[in-house]
Amino acid sequence: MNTNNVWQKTLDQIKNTVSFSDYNLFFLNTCISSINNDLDKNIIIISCQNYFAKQTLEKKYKKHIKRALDETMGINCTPEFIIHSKGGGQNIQTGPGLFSQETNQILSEKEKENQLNNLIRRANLKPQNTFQNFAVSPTNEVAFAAATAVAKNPGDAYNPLFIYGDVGVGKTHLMQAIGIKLLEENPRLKLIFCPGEQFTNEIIEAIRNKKTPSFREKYRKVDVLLVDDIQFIAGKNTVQEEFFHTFNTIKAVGGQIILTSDRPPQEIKLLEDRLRSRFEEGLNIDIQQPNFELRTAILLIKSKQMGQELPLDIAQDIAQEITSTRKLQGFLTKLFAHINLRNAPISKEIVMYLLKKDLPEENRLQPMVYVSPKEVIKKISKYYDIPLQLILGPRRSKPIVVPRQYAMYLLKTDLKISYVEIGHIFGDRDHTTVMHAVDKVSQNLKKTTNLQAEISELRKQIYT
Amino acid sequence: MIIKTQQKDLINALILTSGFAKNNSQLPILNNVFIKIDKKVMEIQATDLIAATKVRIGVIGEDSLEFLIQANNLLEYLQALNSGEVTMDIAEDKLTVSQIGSKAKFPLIKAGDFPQIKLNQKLVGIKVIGEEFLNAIRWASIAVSIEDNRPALTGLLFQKKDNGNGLMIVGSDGYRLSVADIRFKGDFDGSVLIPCKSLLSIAKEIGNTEVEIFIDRKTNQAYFSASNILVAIRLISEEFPNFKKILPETFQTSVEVEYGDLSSVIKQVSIFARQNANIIKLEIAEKIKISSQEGYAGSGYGELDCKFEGEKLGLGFNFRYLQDYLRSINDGLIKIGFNGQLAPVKLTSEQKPSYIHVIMPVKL
Repeated sequence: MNTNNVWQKTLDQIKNTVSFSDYNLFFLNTCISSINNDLDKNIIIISCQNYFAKQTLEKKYKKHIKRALDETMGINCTPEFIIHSKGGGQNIQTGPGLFSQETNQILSEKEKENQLNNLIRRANLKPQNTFQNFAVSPTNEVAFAAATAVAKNPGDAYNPLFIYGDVGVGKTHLMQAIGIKLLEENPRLKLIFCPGEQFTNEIIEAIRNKKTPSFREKYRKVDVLLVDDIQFIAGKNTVQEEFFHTFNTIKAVGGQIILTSDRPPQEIKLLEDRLRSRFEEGLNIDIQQPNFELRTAILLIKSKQMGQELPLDIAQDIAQEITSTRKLQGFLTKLFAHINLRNAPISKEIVMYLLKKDLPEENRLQPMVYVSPKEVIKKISKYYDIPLQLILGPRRSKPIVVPRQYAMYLLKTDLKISYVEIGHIFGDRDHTTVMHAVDKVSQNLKKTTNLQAEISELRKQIYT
Repeated sequence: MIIKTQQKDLINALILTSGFAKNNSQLPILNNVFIKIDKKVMEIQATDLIAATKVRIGVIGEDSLEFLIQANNLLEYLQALNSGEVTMDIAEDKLTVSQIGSKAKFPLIKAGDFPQIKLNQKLVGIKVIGEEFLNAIRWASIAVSIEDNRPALTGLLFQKKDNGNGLMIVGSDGYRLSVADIRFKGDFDGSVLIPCKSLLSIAKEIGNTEVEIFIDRKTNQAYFSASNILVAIRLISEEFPNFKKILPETFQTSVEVEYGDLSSVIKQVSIFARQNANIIKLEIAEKIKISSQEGYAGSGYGELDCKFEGEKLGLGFNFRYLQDYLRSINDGLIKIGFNGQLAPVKLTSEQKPSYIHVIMPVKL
């Protein structure tokens, strides 16, 4: 209960029943000093500025004050008066103190949390890369299941666990989540996380400085080894040799090995066969590019981590336009920076504005040079090496349809020609055909980064 | 009998003891100081039943004698005399004090049953450095609320540090806690709880030389002996709460701020916060933002730079507790450690690393 609010309400009531001058003289600098609920009496101790005020309130206004207090607090109150110098009187803090049970509990919880976080940091892991923060969707659910299984039974379930996929799909996050979970369950676990590059550099340093024994001591005696971007060691024979022995030593005593890479073992060129076969022995699982739902979920999770509430519909808008997870993070940073600098709430307008500035060429690059529709189609036919008549013609085989649809898309988006007109240009096709083509390309653009690259390449070719 | 002594010595002794000899309506005898003269030594004692002081000064005389006298007028008179030698003529029922050109008579009472301090000579004590001891007492007392209805919190806890050779002096009012660490020589077991008010009143007097501390568990007293002063203070029998649990070692968030920056922003915001239960809100990130809640007097806001590590955090404080701490620090870099909104906050000053302060935040 906020005694200030209570007293304010009480004063408001009293104001109407006493003279203006009396109110200002005696009531203004009062406050509730404390409340004692001994037995049935609710004694409200009111602190007054000076002796005169105390006397007056006590003698003249006690009844008024009691009435107002009773009404405000809803219970029978007994006001008493003391004198306190300016401002003071309320040094008293209420609520759980230093020695209360609650505080004790909070402290021991925090101690555990902090110790765990220290372990996590020492193992080179990021505390936010947990299983809870990992958004799951069909594109990564198998990998997620495998990871949780390994976290439950390290050394037993899938060993080694080999996760591969494009940039930014969550391989490192998932791998570190396993590490954090393992440390939570067993703080004494010896766990190392290192990027493949770090492993490489360290072995080279060790050889150079003749410190290989300590290197081996560090890496071979662990219970869990996590190596990120293992493809990095390919082609470096000494490193691969060392890794081979490290791998065997750890596995021989039941240790767990988890690796990530940007491609499956069979596609890593210059990887020694004996390593490739060992990697393939374990579980090789891929993570695909995130779909729309996953991107939305990722946006919501990351916003929360950054201390901001992102409305679902806005997250969806962003997820529509941006497909790469790294770009999602970058966009969020930009968005929140704008919000903070302008002290404005998150609105669709700001998001849309920033999205337009962000999209690759889509709305930003207006064609610098005026190009006629014919030119566009000509350039496309040249690019895909399909004769002009075929593109304009009625044939519907795939190698012809695809460039035709791109052409229709560009004519609509860049040159802003109407559907009907485009239909005309392409040999009297119905405007709905054009609409379908444009839609299809838009949708695909949102899903595939390859297509985005291709379209911007096309644009470059056409407009420059 | 006639004795001679120095005006200054007598004044100092009376100042110290008269502080304990006042306003005791239950035992009027205690409104007096007890004076005992034994040839070349005069001992002046007073007690308020919680603490007792005995001060020794040198006199020129031949006999032994004891009596009781009201200290106030005597003290005032002596202060009005010139410095130098003072003659005291002690008769049956009056004391005559004189100096060249001045003379005054004071009534005195026969020495009845006056409770005298007795220090068991077999006790073994510890030695501390007076100045360190005084500063530590002052530091620990910031957190003590003297008029507390929880007796355990009206005292300062003396306890040996777990590791290392330090004596911890701890004070708390349940919402903040101060710990000071001082060096000591000797053995100290267990812990004792000594009334803070009494300690403060004598600490100044004994604070410039070496102080020896004795604990007599049989009589439940702590004795402080320094040069010519002996003080006995009754221990508090209630138990001090387990404070070690609330001294966090690991932190979720930690910052370093300059005393001056923090102090001035708190001062600004306090003007509005004092109308609102003294609550100020702190937002901790790369900068610290401090604000008062909206009140009918308006609101205040200030920011300051800091060195920030860990997680961002927002929490509330009673600004007076922070100000009390800052006033005792006075300058330099302050390190503050947090563990979320509801856990106690630890403050240490770079300049005084052996002084720790802990404050409980307010739920916003």
